[in-house]
Amino acid sequence: MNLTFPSTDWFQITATDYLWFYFPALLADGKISQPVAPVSCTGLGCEGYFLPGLPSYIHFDPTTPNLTATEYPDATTFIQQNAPGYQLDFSDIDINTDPSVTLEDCRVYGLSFLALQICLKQANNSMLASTTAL
Amino acid sequence: MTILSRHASTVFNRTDFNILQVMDLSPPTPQIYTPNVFFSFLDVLFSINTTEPDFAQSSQYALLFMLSNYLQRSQDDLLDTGGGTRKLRLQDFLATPIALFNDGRFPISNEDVVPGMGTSITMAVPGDRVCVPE
Repeated sequence: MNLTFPSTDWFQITATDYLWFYFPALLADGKISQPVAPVSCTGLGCEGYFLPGLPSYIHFDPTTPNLTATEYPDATTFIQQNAPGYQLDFSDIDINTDPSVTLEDCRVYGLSFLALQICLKQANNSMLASTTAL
Repeated sequence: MTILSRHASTVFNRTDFNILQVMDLSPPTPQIYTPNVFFSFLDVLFSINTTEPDFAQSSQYALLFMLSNYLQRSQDDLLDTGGGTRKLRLQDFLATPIALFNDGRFPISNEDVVPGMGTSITMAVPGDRVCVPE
């Protein structure tokens, strides 16, 4: 993630709408995410997703001709070669081995009549997460 | 949730950009984003300015209102929101900042090519690989 991004004007003005547009089904969106074999967990409740980035993120070389529909008309796919992406592995919290989540790990967002508590805790290379509506 | 970075070649449908296959995945590298990194994003995403007379019509308020319901349905009804189980919704919520606010989409520098990014795409016609038993 771009760690300096939250301080930018763009983020502060636009990010909420931007997140909302993608959030509700991000991992089920076949344009963004693809299930893959998890590498950091096993068993029931362990799932892995690879996120290569949207095709719209591709920066084309401005010195080369545009790739139009008339180019290679028989080709029905394109392959983004050897590009970086994120793999996210999810697994259930193990109350016997994972550290306990306390209020110190939580922040409450909202108002006196509408709030959401989000708890995040680092556990080795993973992060534990939970929510509560208030 | 465990966050890993990997290189891969991703096959996209030329027409609708759906991901058809992820192949040639490189060994994973753990990416450690601490809870404070996530909170720095969430602090802005949920920043409701209550001094504004119409704050209840802001995107931040609407997002909080939606999330406080969406993440906290009292039971895992797969049909009520179309969003899947509560666990999947939380996974979507955690994955979205990673998928959207990354260096590939929003580079730190203004360079056209970010170091480590892929540099080529290939047009392709899907075919079948014939496996010959040894």
